[in-house]
Amino acid sequence: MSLPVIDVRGLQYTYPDGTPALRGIDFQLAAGESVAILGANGSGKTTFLLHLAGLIRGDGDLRIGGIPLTDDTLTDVRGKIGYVFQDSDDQLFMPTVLEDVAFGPLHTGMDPAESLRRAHEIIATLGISHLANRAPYHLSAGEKKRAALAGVLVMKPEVLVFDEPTTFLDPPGQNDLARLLSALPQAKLIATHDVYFARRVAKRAVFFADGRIAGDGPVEAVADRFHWRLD
Amino acid sequence: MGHSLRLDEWARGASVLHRLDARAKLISVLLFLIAVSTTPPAAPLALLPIAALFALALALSALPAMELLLRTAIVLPFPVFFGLISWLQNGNSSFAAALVARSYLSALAVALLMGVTPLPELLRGLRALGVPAVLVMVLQSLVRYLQLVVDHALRMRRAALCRDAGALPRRNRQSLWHRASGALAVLFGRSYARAEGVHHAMLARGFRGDFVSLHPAAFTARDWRFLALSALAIALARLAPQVAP
Amino acid sequence: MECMHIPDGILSVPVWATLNAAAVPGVGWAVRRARQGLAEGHVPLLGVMGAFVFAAQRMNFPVVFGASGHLLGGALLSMTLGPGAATIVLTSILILQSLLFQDGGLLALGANTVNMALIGVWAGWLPYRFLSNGNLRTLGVFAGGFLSVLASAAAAICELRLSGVPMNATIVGVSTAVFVATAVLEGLITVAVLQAVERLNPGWLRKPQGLPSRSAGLLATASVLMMIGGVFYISALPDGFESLAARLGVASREQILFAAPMADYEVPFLAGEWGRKALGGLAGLTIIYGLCLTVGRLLARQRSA
Ligand SMILES: Nc1ncnc2c1ncn2[C@@H]1O[C@H](COP(=O)(O)OP(=O)(O)OP(=O)(O)O)[C@@H](O)[C@H]1O
Ligand SMILES: [Mg+2]
Repeated sequence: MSLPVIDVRGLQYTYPDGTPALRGIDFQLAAGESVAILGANGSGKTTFLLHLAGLIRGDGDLRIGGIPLTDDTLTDVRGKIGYVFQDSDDQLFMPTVLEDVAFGPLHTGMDPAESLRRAHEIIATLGISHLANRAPYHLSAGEKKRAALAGVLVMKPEVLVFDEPTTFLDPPGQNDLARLLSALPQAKLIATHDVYFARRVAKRAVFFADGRIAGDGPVEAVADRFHWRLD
Repeated sequence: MGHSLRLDEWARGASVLHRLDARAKLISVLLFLIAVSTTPPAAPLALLPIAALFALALALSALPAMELLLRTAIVLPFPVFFGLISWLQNGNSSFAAALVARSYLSALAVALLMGVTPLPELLRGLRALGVPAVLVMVLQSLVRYLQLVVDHALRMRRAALCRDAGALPRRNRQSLWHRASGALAVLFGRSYARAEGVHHAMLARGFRGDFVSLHPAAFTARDWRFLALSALAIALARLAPQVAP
Repeated sequence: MECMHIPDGILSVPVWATLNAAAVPGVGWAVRRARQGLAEGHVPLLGVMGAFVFAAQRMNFPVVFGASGHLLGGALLSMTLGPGAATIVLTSILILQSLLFQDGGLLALGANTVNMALIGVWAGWLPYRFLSNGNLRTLGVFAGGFLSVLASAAAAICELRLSGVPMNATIVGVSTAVFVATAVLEGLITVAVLQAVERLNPGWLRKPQGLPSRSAGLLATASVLMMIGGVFYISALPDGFESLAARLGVASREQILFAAPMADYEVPFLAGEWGRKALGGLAGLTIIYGLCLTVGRLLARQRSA
């Protein structure tokens, strides 16, 4: 069996203001696997995901693609994780979509011409070439999500991390996104409140409660066990 | 905010001027402003050839001229105020006229520049002209989050108005102050959180503290020609009244 | 007029050229200072805070008879982000206002930057810096907001007078009254907002290092006030600036302000007053550009070292 792309052991974290957010997380993600993260508001999902990109540093053992996360490996690890943030407006911080997509390659040492070429290529595969010179502020939520995803995919990450990707998307937008995600070959970790969406993009789910993983198994089984459904 | 949105919309046009490099346009506008600023205030008519140059550029830009002229009139109160003062005080009407004409013409030139140059391109041009990357990046994120934060502020104000429709005595100034300062503090906190989110997103995408800019498109022969021509035309327009009489 | 964004076409060539030349190293120094804090995510913070100031200017604070005022923000920013960062934020705001709204000129950008992003910010920081740890703290915050507006206005008046814009005692008196009212309002709003911000999160306030010195704070505040008073007083005299220049033994006021390196240099066919002015202006811009590049290079070298 191959090494898991994400291997987390005993991860704990308390925010500087004293809020305990993670109280001992053990979690493995195999290459190419997709896992949904379910759990109540405030149960620690976002905090956990931020750890995977080294944006927050807690206690415990974290390996991404076999590399232990330390100060020295931070850049390598961030290159393996593609993080799609909950709020696309945080993520699309450059003046135009094209410049935004090119930001990652440009800041990891690629020369400007090559960065632009890759940016063009990726927005073409995602079908948003027509948005290249648009300002992110004027895009629809679905277009923003696609642009944000382009900025992440252009880095060729091994794992994709999504924090509540369906926020602000209408039902057709959610369908689009689900299809798009299923077609991507990378391993995926998706925090969501939507069991139906989770089932479409992942087979396995983990359930967060109070900073711990309280359940792990097939999406349906986890949702049933924790009564995670609308009435 | 309407004025800047309109300029932004115009900047997506495709006239001769639109297609030029932002740096060429910026430099010739600066030359134009210097020419305007150096005309002697005693002879406002000396501005005429320069104004004619502006008219030519405006025609080339294919922008709605009347609208540009009217919108830019918002700059007039300041020079009109000081013009009036100097007129009333010294009876010096030509100084007053020069003040107003120079201000208006200068503002028109900047408005025209922004009407034919998308702001992102101009900012990239500034970077290429040597403005520090940090400043350009701050400008970029300011532009990017301006509308977002302003919308947020407007939503908060609307929510506050809805909540106390008539319930709060209008006179209760102290609590209105309290409310307004509280709202600003919340907005301040939101801005902090937004900045943190943006910073996270930058780090997650490989940012390590130093900005790299995309090179703007190359400065072509056409841009050089435009720059040389406009510099020459501005110099001539500025010189003409000196030689003619 | 409350913010005194000076448009183009008003200031005389020596005045705008000198102030552009002064603004560049000032802002360059602030940029260098801010770089040291980059690891904490300063750049997006400065941009978003610039947007915050724009938004804050739409939030009305009722004053009297249905009239209302709003925050200008220079002092508040210096007390929360620190003066160096506040300078960058305000400079960016001024650049955008002049480009997008033609609010303030492009050649006058140096003047507006010196007035608001440098003088305004530091005049706002000074009292807070020295009074913020003692029981005079609220006074320090108020004085910061008050002085930042008044000092900016005084600088603007000074520049207009030097450019030959005439003013008499009445006009200076009336505008001084308007400025003082605006400044008092800014002080009060700064106090209210800063207190509310501190209630949300005390970590958002700058804690000045070093010993609090009440006497130094009062002295600094008083001296800034006296300087401002002096400027308004001289402006009100019919030939205030001209006689000052004469007393200093300088015949033309333009010579004091802009000792152009090419004052004696005349290209034959560009002879005459305006030719010298044009050359002076060009020289000023060239100097500014050179300074920009040099500062940029220095920063780049520092970074790679
Ligand atoms: N910046 C912060 N400072 C202090 N506490 C925080 C911060 N961010 C989150 N928390 C707290 O940490 C805990 C976990 O929050 P987290 O955002 O990880 O939850 P979540 O599962 O993502 O919730 P949601 O479903 O609402 O997004 C919560 O109690 C929250 O209040
Ligand atoms: Mg969350």
